[in-house]
Amino acid sequence: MAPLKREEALIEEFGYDDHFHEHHHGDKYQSNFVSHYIFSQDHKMIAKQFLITGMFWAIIGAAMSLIFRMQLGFPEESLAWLKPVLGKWITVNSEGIGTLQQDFYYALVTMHGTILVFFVLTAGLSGTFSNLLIPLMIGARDMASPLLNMLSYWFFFTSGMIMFASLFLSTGPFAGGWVAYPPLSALPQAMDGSGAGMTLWTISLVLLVISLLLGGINYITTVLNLRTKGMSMWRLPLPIWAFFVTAILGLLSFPVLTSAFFLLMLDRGIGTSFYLSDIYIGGAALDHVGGSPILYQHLFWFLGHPEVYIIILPAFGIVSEVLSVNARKPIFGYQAMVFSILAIAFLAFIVWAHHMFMSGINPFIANFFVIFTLIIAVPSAVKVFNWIATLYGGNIRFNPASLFAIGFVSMFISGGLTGIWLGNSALDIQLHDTYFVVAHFHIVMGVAAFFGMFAGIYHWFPKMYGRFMNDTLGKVHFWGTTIGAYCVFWPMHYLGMAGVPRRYYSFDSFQTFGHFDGMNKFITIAALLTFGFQLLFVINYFYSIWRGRKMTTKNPYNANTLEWTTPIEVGHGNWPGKLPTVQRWAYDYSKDGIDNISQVQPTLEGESVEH
Amino acid sequence: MTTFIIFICIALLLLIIVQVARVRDLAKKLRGSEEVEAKATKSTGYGLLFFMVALLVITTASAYYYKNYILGFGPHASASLHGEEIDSMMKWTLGVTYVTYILTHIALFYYAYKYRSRKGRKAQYMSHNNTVELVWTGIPAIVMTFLVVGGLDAWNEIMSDVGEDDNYMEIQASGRQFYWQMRYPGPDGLLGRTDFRLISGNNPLGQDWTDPKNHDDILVNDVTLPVDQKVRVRITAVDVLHDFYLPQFRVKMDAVPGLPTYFVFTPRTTTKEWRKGLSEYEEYQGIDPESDSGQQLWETRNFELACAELCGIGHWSMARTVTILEQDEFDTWYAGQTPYYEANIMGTDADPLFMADVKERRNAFNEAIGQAIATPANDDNFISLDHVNFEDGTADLTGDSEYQLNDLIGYLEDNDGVGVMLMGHAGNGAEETENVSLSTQRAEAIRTYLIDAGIDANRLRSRGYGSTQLMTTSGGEAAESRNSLIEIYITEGGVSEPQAPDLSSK
Repeated sequence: MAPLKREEALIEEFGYDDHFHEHHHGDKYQSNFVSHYIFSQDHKMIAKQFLITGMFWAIIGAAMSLIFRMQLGFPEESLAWLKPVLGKWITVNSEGIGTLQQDFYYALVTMHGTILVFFVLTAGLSGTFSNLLIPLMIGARDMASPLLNMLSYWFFFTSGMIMFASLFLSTGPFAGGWVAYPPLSALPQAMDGSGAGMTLWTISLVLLVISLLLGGINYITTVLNLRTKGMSMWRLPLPIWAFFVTAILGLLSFPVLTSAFFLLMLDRGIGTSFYLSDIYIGGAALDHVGGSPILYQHLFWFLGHPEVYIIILPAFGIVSEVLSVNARKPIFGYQAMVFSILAIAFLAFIVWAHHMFMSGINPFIANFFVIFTLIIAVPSAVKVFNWIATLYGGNIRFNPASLFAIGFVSMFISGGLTGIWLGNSALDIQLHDTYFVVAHFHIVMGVAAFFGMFAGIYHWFPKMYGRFMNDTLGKVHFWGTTIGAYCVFWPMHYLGMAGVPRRYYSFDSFQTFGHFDGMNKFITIAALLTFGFQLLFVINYFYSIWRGRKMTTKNPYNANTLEWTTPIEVGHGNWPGKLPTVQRWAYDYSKDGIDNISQVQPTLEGESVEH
Repeated sequence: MTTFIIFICIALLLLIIVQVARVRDLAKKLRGSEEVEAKATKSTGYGLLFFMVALLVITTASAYYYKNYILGFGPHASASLHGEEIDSMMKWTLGVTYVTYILTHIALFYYAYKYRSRKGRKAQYMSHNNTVELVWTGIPAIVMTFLVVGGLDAWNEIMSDVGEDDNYMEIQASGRQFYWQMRYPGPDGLLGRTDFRLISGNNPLGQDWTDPKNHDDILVNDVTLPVDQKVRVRITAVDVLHDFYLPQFRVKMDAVPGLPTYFVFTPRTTTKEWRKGLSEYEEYQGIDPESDSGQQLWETRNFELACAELCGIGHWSMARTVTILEQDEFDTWYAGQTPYYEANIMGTDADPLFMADVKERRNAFNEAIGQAIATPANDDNFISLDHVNFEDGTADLTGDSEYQLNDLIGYLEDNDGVGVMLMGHAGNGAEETENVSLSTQRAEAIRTYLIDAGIDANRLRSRGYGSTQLMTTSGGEAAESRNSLIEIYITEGGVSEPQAPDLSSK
C-alpha cells in the first residue's frame, strides 16, 4: 500500500470521530465571497490574510529604508525624482537638486522600525504561521474561537490603516524613533511628528496590541485544549511549541506596553506628569514636575525585550521543522530544544534593562541584567549546536525552504554573537546607540526572522495554495538575500566599532564619523539590490498562487506531521472525515531504516519510542 | 523621464528572471527530475561551501582592513583611563566570538555540503545525545561566566561615583535642542544651584543668581580639560533626552530632564599627543580641505562630543570640540575665562541681587521724598540722585541710571502737584565755563528724559551750577566721582528755585 493511502486508512481505522460533517457547498464559514475571503473565520484564510498584509507592510517598510539609505549613502545626489511620491518632504533647490528633509528622514527611520517590528515580524510572522499551523499540526478542526481569530485580523487591519493614514499628515507621521521615548514623543513642541502623528501612532499600536492579544489567547487555548487524541505536549512539533510560548510571552508583556502608552497619552492629553519633569522647551518652562522619562523606558522594554523573542521564537520553530524534514533526520535534542525555548522565554522577562544601561538607571542594577542577559547565550548556543547536529549525518535536500533554514542559522550565529558584546554593560558604554547595535539587531532579529519566515513560506506554500513556488526563483532569492543581507549589515559593525551613532541624518558635522563615505555607499547599493531580490519573491509568490506547479500528492516532502495528512485542497475543518489520532512524536525520520513514519502510524511492538 | 525608463528596465529585468526560472523548472520536468535534482543538489552543496569560505575570508579581511578605524586598535586606542579596560574587554570578546563564529560556520556549511542528499544514501537516526548536549551547554556557560565576571568588574569600577577624598573637578554638560552647553565651576570649584524655571534667553542653564556659587561659574560651548585629572561630568538636559557621548574617551550617558546623571573619567591623552599619534598613520596625511592654512589632516583632528540619543531633527548636529591640555596650559585657559555672571548678569535686570538693591534704594528714595515734602524747611527739600550718573565728561546717562530716574518718574506720576528743579553739577572741566555748560546739559538731559517719560514740562526746570555747588570740600577731579551730579529740589505746588542754597554746609 502506498504510504499516502496507508495514512488515510490509518486515520479511518484509529481516527477520532467527532461527527464532523463537511459541507461541500459551503457552510456558514465560507458560503460566499465575503465570508470566504474577507470576513473569514477559517484559520487558513486568516493566515493568508495576515501573510499578504504583512508582505504589503514589509514592502512599504523596506522601501522607506531605501529612501533614508540613499540619503545616508548619497547625500549629494538628487532625490528630486522622489518628489512625485514624497511631495513637500523633498526640497528641490534652484539647481534642481532634491534633498530629503530632516523631518521626514526621522519619520522614515521611525516608521521603518515600527512597521517592520510590529506589523511585519510580530503580526505578519506569528499571525501567519500560528494561524496556519496550530490547528493543522495538532489535529484540530480550527482555532478554539474562530470569531476572535477573525477579529484579531481585523484589529490588525484597522491598526494598519491608522498607521498608514498617519503617513499623510501635513506635520508628518511620528518621527521620534520606534521606541517613542518621552519627552520627545510627549511634546509636540519638541518635534512636528510628535503632534497628530504620535496620536495616531499610539492609537494604531493599541489596536495592534488588542489584535495580538486576541490572537494570542486563541493560540494558547487551542494548543492546550484542542490537541487531538494522542497529541501529548511532548509530541508537539517544535513550531507549535514555539508559537505556544510566543503567545504566552505576548500575553504577559503586551499589556505592559499598553499601559505605557496610556500613561503617555495622559501626559500628552490631560497634563499628567508620569514621564515629564523639569522641562524648558519652546521658550517656556512646563508645569510638569515629578515624572521620570526612565519609567517609560522600563515599561516599554518590559515588552520590548520579550518582543524580540516574540519575533524570533516562531522562526526557531519553523527552522527546526524545516531542517529536520529536509535533513531526513529527527531534530537533534528535541527536549533540549523545548527547554531552551522555555528558558529563553523565561529569561526574556528579566533582561529588559539591558537596553537601558546608559539611560541613567542605577549602575548597580545593571549587574543583574548583565548576568541574566548573558545567560541567554547558553540556551541560544544549545539551539545552534542542535541545528548543526541535525544536519550532521543527514541526507539533506536543498530547496528554498531548507536553504533559508540554513541561512537562518548562519544569521542567528552572526547576529547572536554580537549580543554577547552588547549584553556586557562595560562594552555597551561604547557601543550603545551606535551602528553596532543596528548591525546586531538587524541580523539577529530582522534578517534571521525573515529567513525563518521565508523558510516557512516556501515549505508550507503548497499547504496554503495547493501549488509549489518556483524553485529556481526561490534559490535566486535565497542567494541574493543571503549575500545582500551580509553586505548590508556586516559593514555596520565597523561603523559601530568606530563609534558612529545611529539615527544620524548626516555625518558631516563630525570629524570622527566622517571616514565612511565609501562604506555608506556600499551599504546603500547592497540594500537596493537586496530589495530587488525581495521583489522576485513577491512575484514568485503571487505568480505561484495561480500558475505554480500543482501539488499532486498529499505529502510532497514525506513529512511526519499531521498537516500533510489533510487533503490537497484543505476544506473547512481540515480533515474530511475523522480526526487523525497521534501515535508517536513528529520526528521519526530515518528510524530503523525507514525514511519517515507519520505521526498517525501506531508504534510497532518492541519499537523504542521517543515520546 | 529617466526615472521612468529606469523603472521600466527594472521591471523588464525582473520579468526576464522570472521567465528564465519558469523555463528552468519546465526543463527539469522534461529532462527527468531526478537527474537534474541530483545535479542541482551538488552545485548548491558546493555553492554553500564556497559561500562559507568567502564569508569567513571576506569578513576577516575586511575587519583587518578597517582595523585602524576600530576603536581600541591603531590610532583609536582609548584616550581615557577607564577606556583601556573597555578596549581590553572588547578585544577578549572579539576573540571569543570570532572563534565561535568561524567554528560554527565551518560546521554548519561543511555539514550541509557533506551531508547533501545523494542517491542511495540514508540519513542516520540520531535523536539526542545527553553527553554531547551537556558538553555544549557547559562550554558556553563557562565562557560566559568569564565574560560576565570580567565585564561586571570593569563596569562597577567605571561607573562608581567619586569618593569623598577624591581629587576631582566637576563640570556640567547640559543638552538641549540642538547643542551642548558646558559649565565650569570657576575658582570656588563648585557648581551653583539651578532650577529649570529660571531658564531664559540669557540664563541657559537656569542658574539661581542668588546662590553665590554661581557667580564664578563659567559657561562655554566646547569641552576643555586637563590631562590626568579626574573629571566628574554632571549631565543634564533642558528639553528632551540627549546623550553625552565622547567616542574617543569611551564615555556615554543619557542626559535626562529632571534627573541629573553623571560620568566620571580621567583623560589620559592630550590633544597634541593624540594628533602626534595620528600623524603616523596614512589616513591622516594630506592637506585638510577645510583648513585655510593648508594644515595636514592630523593637525586639524579634534576629540569630539556628540549626542547619542535621538532628540529631534537636529540630533545629528550636536557637535562640540573636546580639547585636552597639559595642566599648566589648562590653568592658563581657565584663568582667562570670564564668569558668565560677571559678563552678562551682574547689574542687569536679570540679576536678582542687583534688583533687590534697586528695590531697597527705591524705598529709601521714596521715604526721602516723602520727608522732604512733609517738612517745608528749605534745606530738606534737596535730594541727591546718587544713582544717576553720566559717562565721564559728557551728558550721556549711564545704563544703570534708569532705575533711580524711574523711581522719580513713578513718584511724580503719583503726585501731580509736585514740581522739580533739576540741578546739574560738573567739576572736572579746565575752565569753569566748561563746567557750567556741562552741568547745564546734564540737568537738561534729565529733564528731557522725564518729559519723554510723560511728565509735564511745566513741572520741571533745569539749571547747571558748574562746580560751584559740588557737594565736596576737596574739589578737583575726584569730586565728580564721589558726589552726585544731579540734585533735585522739590516743592509742592509748582516748581520753584531754591533760595540761596547753602550746600557746602551739608
